[in-house]
This record gives sequence, structure tokens and C-alpha cells, in this order.
Amino acid sequence: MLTTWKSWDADKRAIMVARALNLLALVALLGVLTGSLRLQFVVGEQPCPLCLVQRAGMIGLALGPVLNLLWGIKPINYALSILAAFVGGAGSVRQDLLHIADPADPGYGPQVMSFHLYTWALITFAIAVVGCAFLLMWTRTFTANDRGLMAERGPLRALTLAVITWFSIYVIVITVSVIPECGVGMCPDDPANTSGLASGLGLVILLVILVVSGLVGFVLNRRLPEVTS
Amino acid sequence: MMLSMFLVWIVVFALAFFRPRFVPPVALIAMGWTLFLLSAHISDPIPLNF
Repeated sequence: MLTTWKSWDADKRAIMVARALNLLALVALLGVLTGSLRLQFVVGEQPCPLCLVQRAGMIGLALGPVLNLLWGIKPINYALSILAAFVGGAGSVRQDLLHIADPADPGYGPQVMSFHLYTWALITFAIAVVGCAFLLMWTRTFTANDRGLMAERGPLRALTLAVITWFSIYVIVITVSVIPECGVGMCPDDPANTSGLASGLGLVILLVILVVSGLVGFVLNRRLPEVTS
Repeated sequence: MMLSMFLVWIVVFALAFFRPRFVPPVALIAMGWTLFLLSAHISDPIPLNF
């Protein structure tokens, strides 16, 4: 009896730590996307086609944590994130090589802490692959029979749904912002920059997104039933 | 074209909520489409002998 209890407790602890790591990864991705959206809308630096591919890679990268948190931790979810990291990383590597091939090339767009955004994206994708590899080695999280937060109503589910809502809003914003820049055709290689929003307005919009995400997370947590996949 | 890429990713995200079993195959299609668009935007070769 005691052995069973200890085993169950260790499983639950492993699941909680793995969930926290997945949530942290999702928040980290939101941080990266917030930075790129700030450059686009506040600074006015429009994303190039390769930057858009990297954003798509970030969206794909988030799939693993989202599926793990909602429906239970499974190796296939980490595998999806690793594949998405390679897709996004292909865009980053292409852009990095493009700009280091010519020593006189100053690179595309502004630098953040000495690196261009595509270099930061490559670092993010590399860290994600390594992180997923380590989490794949943690077999206890797979054998613990985690059913995910969709099966458990509570504060963690509300927080997770809020973070996923925040991410979903970003995905929609990124998608809609492609229309004025590229239309339905191919994007220009070097899109013209815009004047950008006032910095204060950008902050207000971010706060509104945060509040809306929090409310949606709270409401969904109360309304959604405790279901299994 | 890039718009279609993000639309496919939105579908993948929606499936993550409503039909998680369908996410892996559709996500693979989205990744393939993303790579195709990446290759479509590669207009000049990079000299890798630097």
C-alpha cells in the first residue's frame, strides 16, 4: 500500500514538474513572439519572408507544450516540437548564412543584445530541440498515465488556458498582419517599413491581450467539463 | 502564399483543442507546406566557400 502511494506520489510530482516546464516553454515562446511583434507594430520593422517562416516554426514549436498540457504528456508531442524546430531552424540558418556570407552585409533588421532576431530564433530552436531531447529521456512522465489538464478543473488549467489563448491571439494577429504585407501572393524579399504605433499604445494593446486571455482562461476553466481525450 | 501557411497553422492549433488525434498528420502537412514556401523564397544561392 505504502509502495503504491509512494509510486503514485512520485508520478504526480513528475507530471507537475513536466507541466511546469511545458508552461514555461510556452511563456518563453510568447516572450520571443512579443519581441518580434513589438518590432513589427511599434518600431515598424516589417518581417521578411524568412522571418515569417521562423514565426511559423515558433507556432509549430508551441504545439508540443499545448498538447502536453491539454491532453497529457506524450513522446509524440515532443517529436512534433522537434520537427517544427527544424522547420523554423531551416529559415534561421538560411537567413544567418545569407547575411554572414558577405562580410560587408550589416544583416537584416535591428539587433537585440548584439544578435539579430534570426540568430535569436536559431538559438531558441536549438534550445528547444535540446530541451525536448532531455524531456524525452524522462520516461516517468510517459508511464504516469497523465490525462492532461482538460481532465482536471483548477487554477493550473485556468492559467494554461489563459496562456494558450494569449498564444492563439498572437497566431491570429500574425496571420492577419500578413495580408497587408503580402496579400495572397508571395511576400516581398525586403518589405517596406511602416511608421509604427506609439510605444504606449503598444503597451496598452499588450495589456488588453493579457486581460482578455486571463478572462478567457478563467471562463473556459469554469465552463469546460472535465473530459478525457 | 504565406497567408495560406498561417491559415494551415491556425487549423492545426484549432485541432489541438477539438481533435487532438488529427494534430500530428495535419501538423506534418503544415511543416511540409512551410518548407515548400521557404524553398520558394530562396531566390539566390549562398556561396558556402567563404
